[in-house]
Amino acid sequence: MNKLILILFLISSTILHATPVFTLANEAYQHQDFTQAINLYKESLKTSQSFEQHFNLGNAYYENEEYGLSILHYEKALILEPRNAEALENLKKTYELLQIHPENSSTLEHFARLFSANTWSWICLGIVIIGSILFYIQIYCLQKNLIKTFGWICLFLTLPLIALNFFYSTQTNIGIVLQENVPLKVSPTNTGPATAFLAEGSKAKIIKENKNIENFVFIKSGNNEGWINTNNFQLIWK
Amino acid sequence: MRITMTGKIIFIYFLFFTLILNYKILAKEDIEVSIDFEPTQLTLGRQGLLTITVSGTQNVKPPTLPNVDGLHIKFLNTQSRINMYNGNISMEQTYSFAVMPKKIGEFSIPNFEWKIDGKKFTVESPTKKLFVQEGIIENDILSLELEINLNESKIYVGQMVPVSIVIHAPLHFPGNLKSLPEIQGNSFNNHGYIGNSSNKIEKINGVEQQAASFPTYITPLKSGDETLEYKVGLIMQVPKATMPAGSNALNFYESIFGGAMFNDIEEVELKSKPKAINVLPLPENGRPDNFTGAIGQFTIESFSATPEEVQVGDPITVKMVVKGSGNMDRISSPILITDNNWKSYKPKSSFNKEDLFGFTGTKTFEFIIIPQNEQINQTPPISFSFFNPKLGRYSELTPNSIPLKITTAPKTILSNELTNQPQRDHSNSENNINILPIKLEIKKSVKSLISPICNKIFTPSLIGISVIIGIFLIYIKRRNLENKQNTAYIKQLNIQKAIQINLQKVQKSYSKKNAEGFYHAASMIILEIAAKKHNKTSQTLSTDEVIEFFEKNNLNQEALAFIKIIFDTTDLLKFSGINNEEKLEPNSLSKFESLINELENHFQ
Repeated sequence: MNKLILILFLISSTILHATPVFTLANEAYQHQDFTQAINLYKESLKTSQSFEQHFNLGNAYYENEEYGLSILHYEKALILEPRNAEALENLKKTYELLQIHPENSSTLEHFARLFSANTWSWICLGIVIIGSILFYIQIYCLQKNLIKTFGWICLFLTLPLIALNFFYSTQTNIGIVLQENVPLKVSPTNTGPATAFLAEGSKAKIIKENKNIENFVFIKSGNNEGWINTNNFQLIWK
Repeated sequence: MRITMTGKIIFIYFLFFTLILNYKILAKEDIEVSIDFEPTQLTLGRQGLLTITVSGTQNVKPPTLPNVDGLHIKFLNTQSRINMYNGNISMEQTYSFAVMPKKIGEFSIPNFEWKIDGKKFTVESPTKKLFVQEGIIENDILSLELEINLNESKIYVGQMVPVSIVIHAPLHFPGNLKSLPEIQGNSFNNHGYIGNSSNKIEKINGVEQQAASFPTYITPLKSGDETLEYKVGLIMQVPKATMPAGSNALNFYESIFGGAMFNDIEEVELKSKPKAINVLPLPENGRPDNFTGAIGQFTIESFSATPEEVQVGDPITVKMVVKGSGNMDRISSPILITDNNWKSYKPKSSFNKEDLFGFTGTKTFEFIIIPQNEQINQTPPISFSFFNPKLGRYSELTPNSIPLKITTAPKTILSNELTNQPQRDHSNSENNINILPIKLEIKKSVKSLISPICNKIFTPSLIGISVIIGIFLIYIKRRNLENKQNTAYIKQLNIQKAIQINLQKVQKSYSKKNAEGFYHAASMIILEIAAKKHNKTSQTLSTDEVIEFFEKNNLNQEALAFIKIIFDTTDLLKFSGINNEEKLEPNSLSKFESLINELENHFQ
């Protein structure tokens, strides 16, 4: 009981801490002081993260004409609420503005967007536990074929869960190009020749990182591959 | 002593073998004597080796050699050898003598007689004449020669030309190379030597000589009448000038090292005859503007562009592979003729040599070019020009342009630095596209966006843990099933249960001052403990048997007395029909508990 109170206290305290800054940020936004709003939203994100903070920050960046960052925060908001119509709508509008046609989502991605990653984690845990319990019950009980069947169903459900697990683990390497016409370099140097130029707001996946190379990561965006300066690129799941 | 049949067989076998062996050894062979001496030419301080070999006999005393004025001959050693060939055994003895000249001149060792097995043999001189000279054998030096083999009749500046440097030396030349052949002057560049020289024996004027060849390549650095010259350093062993030529005895070290320690090392420099070469300059006439400096014979092996379908701004890799032989290392990259329609980068080149010197091979040139508009339909022109020394003129290889399909890129794909296209204009769309408004309240927040499911091993770990728990539970279930089928285990389990139940009864009865209940339950516990230890059931045991059992097991007298009291009191209370609370003393329970503990400890 005491633990529950402590958890509730901690949750409420983080929300309470974020809320005044969040309110101030909203006020700045409504007064069209977008730079101030951005700073305040970013400040509020230091303690906790919520759909609303990322959504509003996406809006503030949009109004400030920083479209790459705007897309980044809409995507972050969609991690927390994958089917939120408003975030999807604003993201779509930003892409339209940038004349970018995002790649069509895969079936697995559509499936993953049914719930947030956090919810999927709980579902995953629940299915595995229930499946296991049912399976073990039938070990101890005689003639409980129904329990056995349910147990097997639950265990079979773990296969798509593994696929989902794999999907999410690959998502953590995806990021957004933050500037306009960002060069993809042949080598991880600022002076090296560019193989292509990426549009602001483009999605790209980190293929490799080298600890010895600072400020550059090797990414793939569409058919293009090359080194990008990390000042121009940020991961969504960060 | 009785000899077994096996012993007899072994004995006969060895007897037979020994007879056969001795028969072969003892069989009379023809005695042969041979003599040899090396070398035929000696210098003062050097010693020769005289060997006399006798075959067909053994235990022969070394021969006494005749004295030769000017030579000192000393017996060194005897070596015996038994040869077995196709079942025939022959014996051989070799006597070695060191022959050391005391002065310069011509000598001969005369024939001499040698008594072997009672017979006299005349041993003929191994050499008619032995020449002894002062210092190094002049012929050795005189016959040394450094030769330059160059097959090309005319060569051009910058051309890579194969050449072979050959050292001719006597067959037993007492020397080694100090260094590899070095080119003289600065008119030519030598491309070094790879691997070992190829050695062969050649016959010049009927005399066998050794020839060591060093193949390499040279490149003339300037035109005009030039001379090609090489030199090589040799190390020779020459006798020391202080050699005690007149000494009468060879010392211990001489006999071991054969006089080698009395040799000096002398360095000799051998020079080739200068070879006059007229190096031609590359002709000015007909020299292409894009001449890359390549001199030799070349062909274009492949010319490609990937990809052939791109958007404006996307890079295309143009690759040209040139194959041939010549000065591959000096060829600069050909120029891809690009105009404003292209953005090009500095080309890269790589060389895959097919021989160790890099004279033949393939050279690959890679160009990265970026189309700047969609009007382009083929790769820019390129040509590879070279000078063919065999034909004495320039040649130009021009591959066919590769058709390309360039499509328009999305508006934002090109860098503003590369194109003069206007910046992205959002001003019009900004008014048209209104985004949905901000949220005013936070409903739910999290610490991090990363969830457990983002971890690759999350689900497999969960399943793994549940499987482990399952296996554990199945194991427990199986163990319980096995225990249920074990009667001894079940009996023990029942006794344990009965003890537990009665123990509770004891405590309950004591608290209620129920003496009969207390003692009855206590008796039952003692009976159960005895049954447990006796491996019987409590119902089949009498109190006397229990006491006897405890006595046999050396339970202490105090405990035994208390057990008797319990049994007696139980009977008394049971049969008298009274519930005498006085029988329960204040310490009855604690006393009983101590008894139980003692019983448990005693039978543990």
